Amino acid sequence: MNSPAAEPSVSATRTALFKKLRGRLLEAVELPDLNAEQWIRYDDPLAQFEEVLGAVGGTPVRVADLAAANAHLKQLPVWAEAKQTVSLVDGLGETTEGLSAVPDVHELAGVDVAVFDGLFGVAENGAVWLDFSHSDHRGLCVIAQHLVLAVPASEIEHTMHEAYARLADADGSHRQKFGRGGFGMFVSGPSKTADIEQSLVIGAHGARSLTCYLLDG
Amino acid sequence: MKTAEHPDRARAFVADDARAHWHDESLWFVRTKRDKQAHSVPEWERLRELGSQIKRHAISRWPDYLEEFEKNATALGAKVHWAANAEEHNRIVLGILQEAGVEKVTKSKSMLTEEVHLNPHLIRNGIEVTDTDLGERIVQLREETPSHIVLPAIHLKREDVSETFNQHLGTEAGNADPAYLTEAARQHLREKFLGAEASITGVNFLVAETGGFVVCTNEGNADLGTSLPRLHIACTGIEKLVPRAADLAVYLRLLGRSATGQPITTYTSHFHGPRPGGELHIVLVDNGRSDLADDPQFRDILNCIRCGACINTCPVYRRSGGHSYAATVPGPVGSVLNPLHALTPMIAGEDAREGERGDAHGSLPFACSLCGSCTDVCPVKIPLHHQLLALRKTVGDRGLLPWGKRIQMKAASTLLNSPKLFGAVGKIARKALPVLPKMAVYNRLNAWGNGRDLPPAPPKSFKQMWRDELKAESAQPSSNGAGDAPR
Ligand code: SF4
Repeated sequence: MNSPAAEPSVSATRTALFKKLRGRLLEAVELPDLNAEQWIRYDDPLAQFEEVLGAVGGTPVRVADLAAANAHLKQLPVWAEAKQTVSLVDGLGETTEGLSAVPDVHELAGVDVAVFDGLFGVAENGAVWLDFSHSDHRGLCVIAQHLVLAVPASEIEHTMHEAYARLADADGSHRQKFGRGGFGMFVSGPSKTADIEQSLVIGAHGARSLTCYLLDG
Repeated sequence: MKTAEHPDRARAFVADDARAHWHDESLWFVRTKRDKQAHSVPEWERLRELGSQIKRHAISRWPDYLEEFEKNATALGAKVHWAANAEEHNRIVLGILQEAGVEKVTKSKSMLTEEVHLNPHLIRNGIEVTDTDLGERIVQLREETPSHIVLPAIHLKREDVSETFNQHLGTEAGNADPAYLTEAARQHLREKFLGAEASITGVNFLVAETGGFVVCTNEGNADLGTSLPRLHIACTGIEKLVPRAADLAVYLRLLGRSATGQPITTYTSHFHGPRPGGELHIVLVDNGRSDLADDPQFRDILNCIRCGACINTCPVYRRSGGHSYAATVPGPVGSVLNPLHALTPMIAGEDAREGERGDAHGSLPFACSLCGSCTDVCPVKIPLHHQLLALRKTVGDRGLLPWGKRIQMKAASTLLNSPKLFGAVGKIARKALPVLPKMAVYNRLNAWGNGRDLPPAPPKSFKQMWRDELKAESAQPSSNGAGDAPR
């Protein structure tokens, strides 16, 4: 193995690269103002969200309130058969003894169902924004066999543009709230693959099913 | 410099007619799904325009945005590394892993690490690296390379996968059910995920404004991979920059729809700094990219978001298979990128695949019918077929054409530059072609005669026909003065 001294310093590469890039004058291209654009508006964004989520393999369930969602969840076969569950939503499912303050995702490998709060959904693609800025449960949502989300039915954005706008700071940039938020993800349906002969299989590495409660109340 | 021959490598693929046909149809199916999704967005053309403009803007201020990204990423606690080429990239990644005492690593899809041949380098140094994208795992077990940037195993049939899994994962012999095989891979890769001490991912977008980056997958492998071990290394080309987080909306609307005809990938993960208690390294790789901005003819290739749409639609790719390109990126985008890279001083280092090193990829710009379909579908409006045409000239000027084609091009150019000679040769050919034995027309000297047939020679030249027609017309006025109605 090379001794560290034999390696050219990283900054030499950086210096050379910037020298090259700065030594070249390219004609200016304006950065477009995205706020000046017109994007699609759906007549009924909630219905659109439900339709697209269904098309990508998820199950949208419209319910009156959390109690109704909870009652529905308890009847789901994946919940009834689950040995280990973790719920991060008060009033929707429960967390199996001993799993509430788990320090390491490795110990969550046996979780059958995980329940998360989704901040909002996106009508055009059935995606839900999961915010992990206050928790490090990012691994839980992929390691669990099944995923359950709770999203207020009133919180459906039309497109990704509105989605990012709502994650922005007051000045329209994303430097603070979003840029310092650690980890966040859009999840649209259960995990899937079509790598074998283009035939779609649900349940690749992440969740085998995704149930999304849309709460009216 | 030896010139790679796309037709030679395509020969074996084309020989299996049924399979070639099946391959063609599988990709056309993906193209059709893409069309459906694209048509569902009324502002699609506007999005493509914006997608192009934002990227061109980013490249016009490349050093500024790179610096901004570095500054912000560092402030978030990530360690940013710079690699000039493949060798430096691999040395950096190996160094990070060795320093952390890592022996097992999982990797999610990254065409960059394919391009720089990271896997062989790590394996040679005693590190077990497991590709976790299902398609990539399949080709890794088969000791092949991906044949497509989005669908790495698109060249394989379920029976092939069944055999590979039977051999390596102990699945039932003969069971080729995709659901069964996928489940087996899930179980097998879970073990690998849980046992890994570090994870390597690619990057879809670097956000200058925040210092974060976005990774898109359908399988969830990047998320599972990065959430288990404490060490995450993200490897990326320096062109993956967008100025603002708001720009992500434009690209995420385009990417999934263009790639596989999905409204968005299942997981779109935003990484801003390491996880609590974790370590995040971002390796920014040039490997010839910075040279691509020099020529305005080719600069826009840096817009590429690696969606694969141009590959799926390409009639040559669909009928010749990804491996015929002998390069990490096949299809129209690869036929632009690979010769360009070979023409620049940077060429992949010691792990370059057989047939790739020192290879000018000179035949790739000719693996194209100039139908323009790639340009039509490209979500960031890269003028691919114009670039391919321009590259043919460059490749020709540099003397990188195969000998047979070079001689014929030279002859053709002499011929086409002299109307007299053209007329004379035409006269002779119309007489000679019908009576010449096939051998005289279809031989080693005629690169275009391969797999093609000439139409029967017409009795008269176009010039003659035109003259005769004019004569006839002046003799009798035409029946419908304004000429033929459009048909
Ligand atoms: S060139 Fe355009 S169509 Fe082809 S992979 Fe890149 S972005 Fe997609």
